[in-house]
Amino acid sequence: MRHLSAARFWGTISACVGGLAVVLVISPGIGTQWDAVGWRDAWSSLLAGDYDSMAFTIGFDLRLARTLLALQAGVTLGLCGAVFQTLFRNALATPYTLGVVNGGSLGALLAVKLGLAWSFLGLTSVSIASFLGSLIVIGLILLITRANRRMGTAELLLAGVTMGLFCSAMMMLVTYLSNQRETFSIVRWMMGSLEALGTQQSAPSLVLLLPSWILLLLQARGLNQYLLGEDVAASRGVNIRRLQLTCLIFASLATAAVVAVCGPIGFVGLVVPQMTALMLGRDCRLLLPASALIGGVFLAMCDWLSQIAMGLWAAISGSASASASLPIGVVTAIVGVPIFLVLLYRRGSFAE
Amino acid sequence: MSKRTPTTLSAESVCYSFDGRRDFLVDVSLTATSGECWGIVGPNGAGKSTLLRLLGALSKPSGGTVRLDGVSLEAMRATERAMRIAYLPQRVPAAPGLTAGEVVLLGRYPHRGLGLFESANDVARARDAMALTETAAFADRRLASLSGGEAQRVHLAAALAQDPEVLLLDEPTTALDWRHQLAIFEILRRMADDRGVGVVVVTHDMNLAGRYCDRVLLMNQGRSVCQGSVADVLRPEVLAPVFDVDVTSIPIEGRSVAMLVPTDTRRGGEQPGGTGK
Repeated sequence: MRHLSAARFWGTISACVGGLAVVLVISPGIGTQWDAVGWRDAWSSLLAGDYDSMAFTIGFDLRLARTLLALQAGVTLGLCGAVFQTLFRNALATPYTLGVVNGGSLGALLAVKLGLAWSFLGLTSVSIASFLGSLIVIGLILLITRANRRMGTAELLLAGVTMGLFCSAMMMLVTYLSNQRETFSIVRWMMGSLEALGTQQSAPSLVLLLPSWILLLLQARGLNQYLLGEDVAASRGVNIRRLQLTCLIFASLATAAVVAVCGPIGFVGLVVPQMTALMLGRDCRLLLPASALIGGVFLAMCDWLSQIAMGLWAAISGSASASASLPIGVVTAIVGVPIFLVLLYRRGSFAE
Repeated sequence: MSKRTPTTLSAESVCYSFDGRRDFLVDVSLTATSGECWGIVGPNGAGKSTLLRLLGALSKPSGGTVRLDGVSLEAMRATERAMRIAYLPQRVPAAPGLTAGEVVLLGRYPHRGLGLFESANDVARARDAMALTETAAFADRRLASLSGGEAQRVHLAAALAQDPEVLLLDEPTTALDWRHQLAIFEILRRMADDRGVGVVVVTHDMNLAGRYCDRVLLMNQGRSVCQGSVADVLRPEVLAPVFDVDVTSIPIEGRSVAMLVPTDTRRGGEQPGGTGK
């Protein structure tokens, strides 16, 4: 009888952590100008203790910091996607399903439109406005679920999707009233970006992300019972209400933090959990941590591709581009879709 | 697994009201004890499932109490309750991606404490439950790829793996063929006889109830019509007015309990069968 043994669990987790370590080691060598500062230059500057050199600045302060940001975004989206797909028993659920991303986008748009340009703890006004927008959406959804205690997951989904649509409509309205420059910057923001803002941006959000990750991972066994329905889970001693609220609140908060810093990076939260489930099975004890780690590695590698592709384009066309990398959301889809379709073709269905 | 000290799960004149206005259950009492198999029968909407949910602490009674060995279920910790009472709903949603073996092992949840992995004992209990329900052969197949009867036996195996003192089942044989209907009730009977489990099963099949249950509760419109031994309750003259049908009793050679067959709806008496839901 197949079941999750300690050996299989730790083996899989070690492999994922190993992949993550490899990504971190390679990362100082990969960027738009890889001909200027190579992997060897970056690491030898570190070993030589030459912290003021350009090689160190580019390799670690810029490239590694950017990779760390990609990792924390990828981990969050992979983990929250797996949690939401399990909680809603729906293969189409993503961390964005409950409208967090629309609230965040509306907040960011308003910050752009109002021309807010201050910063707090190293976070830009756009990030903060986006986070506030997400919080308002989460808060409203929680208020509705509190008022109506009979609310099931289907009603929750409907409430979230409707809230998202409302925010989108408001965004259209504001965009319609905006000038070209404002429209351009909001469209850029909507594509999602890991543009190096350095550790300043990633450190504050980690304060929120780390506890959320841990709390979500701790729900794995309860979520496994939840796969068999609320009645069975409750009869086995799972506190359904607490499980739902914990998952809902912390997955939404973590997602909001990532959206605030990186914008709405698509695709990772939808497909990474499903790829992981197809490869490793639906047991949440393995699915949640593996989906998180694979999400991190996947997003970091997509980010490399976006930089290398842009660097190649600049070299071929001979023109310095306005931007140093392709929008990350475009790359995640271009890379992820073929991988995913092949897996789907070879491994079969999500429904089974 | 050996016989334990006897357990008693009792509903003491429980009432249940969903919205505080209409009563779905009025003053129903039932006492299930170890080694005994209770059948709950009655028309649709009679409150059978509601009573079963109260017995499993899935809903709180709006009046009366449910006690396990004298202790109110509401006063017990959820995990402690789950170690002693297992509940199998009418329909378990298809869990995507899980194998039959994984589903059965999930039944060990209340016994595992904080451990992340299944112990050797957990696996042994799961194997035992799968052997008993004849599901061991497809332990590694996806649950979704099994037939209705196979999946139902897997869910029953999970409930058995939970190693409960009382087993609550809501129409476990609906949608199963003859052989599997008998097989499920054979297992329930064996659990009661060999392992001293108290079984409470909601069913629409009077003949299965008559053959395998010790005691029967007949419900109608949220109330208990009568309860007692099979011979007392499952009689044509008792059932006919409740279901509003004519019932014929057909004696079977070598069996003490006769077969009951509904022969015709009673015309004229236009009174609805259940609560009208």
